[in-house]
Amino acid sequence: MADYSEVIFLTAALLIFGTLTINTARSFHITSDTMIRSDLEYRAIAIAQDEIDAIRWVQARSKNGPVFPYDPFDSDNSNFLYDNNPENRVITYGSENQYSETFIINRTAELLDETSDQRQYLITINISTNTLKPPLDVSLDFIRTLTFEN
Amino acid sequence: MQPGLITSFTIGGMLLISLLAFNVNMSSTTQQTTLTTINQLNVDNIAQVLEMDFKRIGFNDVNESETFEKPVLSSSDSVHIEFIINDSNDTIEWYADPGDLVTNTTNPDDYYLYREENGVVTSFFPVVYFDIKYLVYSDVTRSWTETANPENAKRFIVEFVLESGETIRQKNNVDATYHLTAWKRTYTPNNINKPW
Repeated sequence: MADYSEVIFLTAALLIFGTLTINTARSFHITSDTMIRSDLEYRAIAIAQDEIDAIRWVQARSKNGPVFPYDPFDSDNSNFLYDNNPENRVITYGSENQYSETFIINRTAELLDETSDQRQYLITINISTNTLKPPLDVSLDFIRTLTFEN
Repeated sequence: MQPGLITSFTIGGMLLISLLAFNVNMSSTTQQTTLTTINQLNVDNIAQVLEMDFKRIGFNDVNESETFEKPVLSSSDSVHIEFIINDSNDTIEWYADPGDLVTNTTNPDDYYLYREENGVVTSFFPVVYFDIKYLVYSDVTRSWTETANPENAKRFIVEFVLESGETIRQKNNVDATYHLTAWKRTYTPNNINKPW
């Protein structure tokens, strides 16, 4: 060959094509990762909503005792609802429970306001899973006011 | 034969093959993304309608014993629940029979989940699994236990599994892969769990 310009042009074209292909594949990979995460997030949100529904049914009795002080959202209280934080829960799906997912459920209650017979709490429910890297994290907040009998 | 010509043909052929492979890969990934997105949208749709219906079980129903119109069907495979949602006795019915297969998809396992309002089908969704568990609370064991009769149930665990109608990946005509997603939710309707 008299010169190598054609070879150089060809090499450059192949490099550009290779770069485009790699970037396209990376873009598709990110899209797939987003789809898998959103799928898992949806299931995690369903679990968080179940927890919120359970909070709606929590009853309050007596705030100050003397015999049965009962504030289920007070972490200093012996009847604290979330003593077993964080909780590992395995959810199974399918006709024969052939699919399963492990979620870590963490619940915290923050006292917002208090009167003589009422307490208002902000309950934060955090659902996480280590199936993906980085781990998936979903949080839902719920405000609940408890009215005590005495 | 000139070596330059042979080399040109070889390199050109390799470039053409890589272009074709890239095109096939991109088409396959695009198909997978589209089918997955459609499947997730279907999950969202079904979940929203179920949420709206199950939270209204027994709403404004004066006589709680009439909330549930019919008992669960005797077949162990099909699932059926019907309930009143207001004082006008409007009814919502959800039912699914694995024998009622979807015929316009290549997925051989999907069947129809129907929703009826006052006896008229308002929506139907292709699912591969749908189940409702009925629970009652026992004061003795202080826990929720499963019952076969929805008329006595106070809590419901609703679950479904969806698969895409078309394959996202297929090797020959046997090994077909469908996108699969599952969803499960627990409902404790206020109107059949009154504290008084």
